[in-house]
Amino acid sequence: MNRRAFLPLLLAAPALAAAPPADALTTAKRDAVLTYARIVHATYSDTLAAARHLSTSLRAFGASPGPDSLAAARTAWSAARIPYGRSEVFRYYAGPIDDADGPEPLLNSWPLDESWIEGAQGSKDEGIIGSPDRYPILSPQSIAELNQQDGEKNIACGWHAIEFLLWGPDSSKTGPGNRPWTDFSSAPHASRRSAYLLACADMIIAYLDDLVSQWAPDNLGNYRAVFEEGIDASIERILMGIIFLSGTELAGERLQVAWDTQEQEDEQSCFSDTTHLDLIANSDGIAIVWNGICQRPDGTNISGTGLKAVASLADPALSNAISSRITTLLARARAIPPPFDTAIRGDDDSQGRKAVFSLITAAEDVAIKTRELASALNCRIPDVPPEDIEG
Amino acid sequence: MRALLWLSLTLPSLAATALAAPPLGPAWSGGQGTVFNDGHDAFSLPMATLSRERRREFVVGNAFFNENWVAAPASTEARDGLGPLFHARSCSGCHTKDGRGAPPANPADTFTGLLVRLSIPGSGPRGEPLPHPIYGNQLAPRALPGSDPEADASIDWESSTFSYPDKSSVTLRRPRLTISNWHDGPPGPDLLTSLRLAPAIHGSGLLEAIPASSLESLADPDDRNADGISGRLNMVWNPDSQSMVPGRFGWKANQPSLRAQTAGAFLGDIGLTSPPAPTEALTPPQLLRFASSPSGGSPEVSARIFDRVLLYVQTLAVPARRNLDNPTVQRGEALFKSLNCSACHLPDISTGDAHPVPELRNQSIHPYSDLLLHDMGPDLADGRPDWAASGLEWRTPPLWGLGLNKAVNGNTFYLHDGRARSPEEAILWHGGEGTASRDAFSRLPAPDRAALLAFLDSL
Repeated sequence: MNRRAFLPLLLAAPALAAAPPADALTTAKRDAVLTYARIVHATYSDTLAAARHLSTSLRAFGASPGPDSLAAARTAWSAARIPYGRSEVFRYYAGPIDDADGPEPLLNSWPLDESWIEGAQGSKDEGIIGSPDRYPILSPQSIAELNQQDGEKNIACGWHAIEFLLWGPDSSKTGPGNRPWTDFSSAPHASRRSAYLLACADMIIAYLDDLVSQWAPDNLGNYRAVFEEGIDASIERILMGIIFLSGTELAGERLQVAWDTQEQEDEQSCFSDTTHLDLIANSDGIAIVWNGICQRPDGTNISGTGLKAVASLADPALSNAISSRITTLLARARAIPPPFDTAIRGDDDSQGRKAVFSLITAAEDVAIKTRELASALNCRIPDVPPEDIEG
Repeated sequence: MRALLWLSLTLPSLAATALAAPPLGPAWSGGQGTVFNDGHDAFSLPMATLSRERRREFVVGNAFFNENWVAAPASTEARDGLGPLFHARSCSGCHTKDGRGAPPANPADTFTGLLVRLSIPGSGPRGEPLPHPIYGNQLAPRALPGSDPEADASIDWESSTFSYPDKSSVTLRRPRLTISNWHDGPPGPDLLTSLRLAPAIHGSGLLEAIPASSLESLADPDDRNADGISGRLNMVWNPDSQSMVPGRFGWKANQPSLRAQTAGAFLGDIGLTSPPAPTEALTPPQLLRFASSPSGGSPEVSARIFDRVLLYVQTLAVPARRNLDNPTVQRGEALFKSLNCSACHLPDISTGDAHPVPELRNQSIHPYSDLLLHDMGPDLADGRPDWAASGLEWRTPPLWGLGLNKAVNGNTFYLHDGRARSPEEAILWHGGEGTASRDAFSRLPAPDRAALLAFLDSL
């Protein structure tokens, strides 16, 4: 007998007895998809507002460079990173942020090519900023083009380019980079440095603006309209976001590689030493999607149907298991002793390395259990995040 | 986005055991670790059986396999040391998606997926090919900014027509290599060259785990069974064991292990020193030329990173076969055997119990290769000896995953120089020990030829 044909028969009987009516599950799925779309729109809107505030702060800093205006710009950057970090759970299913034309590589790539932006210390090449003859115009368009010249990864734009220009290289063991504000007043190419900052911020704003409109409600022509129509396909995408952010990106790329190499270049926000906050924001994003509850900076809340409600109907024990693993993830993200580049160094039994390693296992656990949920919901999760997706 | 690390996390479904694995059926080309993926990532996944701990090491190896190395000094200290002469900036630059390279599309394109081996006649104390005194053992078509490469290589294609007995025909092409703009003067009349296409690398660890004794028992250098096929072992120096051992990797089986292969590729292709290969591969005139070139560390690839990349290469899974129930595929498989293709493209072999990576041990695998050298005739000959391999001999390349090359790499270039644009063209180039099978293939009725190709496509 064909084993595949046999299995559903075995499973059918208990399912009839124990499972809720199918329409309850369908209703929960639909409510979860609608809640998710509201959360995505709110999170990108909050990121856009924070990016606009950052742009304003950068303009003020450029207009009158000084210690206070630099500090205000740095604060604005750090504040914008929180909603952006929470939005990363909306990646990994070829949605507006990272489909073939998505802006993600232009927004958040690293490691940054510092010498490409500003020239290496002691090098004859002065980079884009120091070469006004070669690169007379610093605009979002020109920087986007310079970002990957010759097909190489000369990463020169996005959040981390702004971070590099505000903080400078981090050569300190205990603190972040310490770029003097005079780099924007009396140093050579000071005005080009300001122009570069603004061009990067304008680029981020333009892309975020597009993401907000793709997820805006009541627009028949945008991504959200399609997303809200396809209930099962959309649940699948929500699951992919959690599985690939936790298992692939966090546990793998952002933590394991850094843990193994112990190199500062493998920490995401290396100039500002705020990588631990990125990890918290990423973890919070997972919890927000899971619970369907999103607290916004303006004090309002979205409180709807989370993925957890769907899981509870499909498999209560598994739902509890995932909830507990996400709780662990949140706690362990908050337990990383900053700065991250110090935490990853030393012996494996140092407090920092143990904390990073336990966050790796926590993120792996979230991915493994969420994959089990995907199976329980008959969702097909690919081995790797899709580059393109049908429907 | 950190470039290209897309690994799923699933718990291993089967623990590697010390016992011989149960038979899994012919779809499981790579033993218990076989993955079921027929898309763009088919060659890029870890073995399904890989432990959670080694999966983490695989993640790190994957990152360093894919990311570009940069010139030293750089703030990205773990990733600097490129060059000064090099072929590519990353492993994946040639082994795209862990798959195969392609010959340059235009004569003016700098070589990437194809490299040129160099030597002069004769052999060294252990039988190794003699590097060219000025240009070494491979051509570097790239150099760091401000420096010139060793030379410019380009290819022109010469067409010919193969006519089947049934009057249908296929256009074949062969490369004509031209090397110009030699940086340190003309190489002289003794130069020997050999084009080598970057191979796909999935399943390499399983091939490494086949016991040497199995390969020795397959060898039939004097053709004692009189089947016209006389597989020979290449015997090469293994620096780790300090002994001569059977070669298994590379188009002429000139590398004894993945450790040696990986170190050689880091050094020769990217210009990176590593623990097994701590000295830059520069010839005396090049040492002078690059005397002031900064190093990216000593070695440039640290022991830890080297071990991760090695583990990665060893544990890339083999994707499962497809369409086994298709009657045409089944007929093709029967023909593959009756035409004696399977004499060299050996379907079944087992790994031993000694490999350091437990998941590679005791696996029944289907690489469709004997890893032996065979005389492939004058049309494929490069005339460049490589250890025990003559200028006529090539190692049987594994065929597992062949039907997925298009999905992974978007192209289907075969044979050592990428001249064949399809499996059919590759078959038609078989000469020497492959002549009888090639002729038998050409005499098949067209539907049978198509069936054999359908079988290859199912691998």
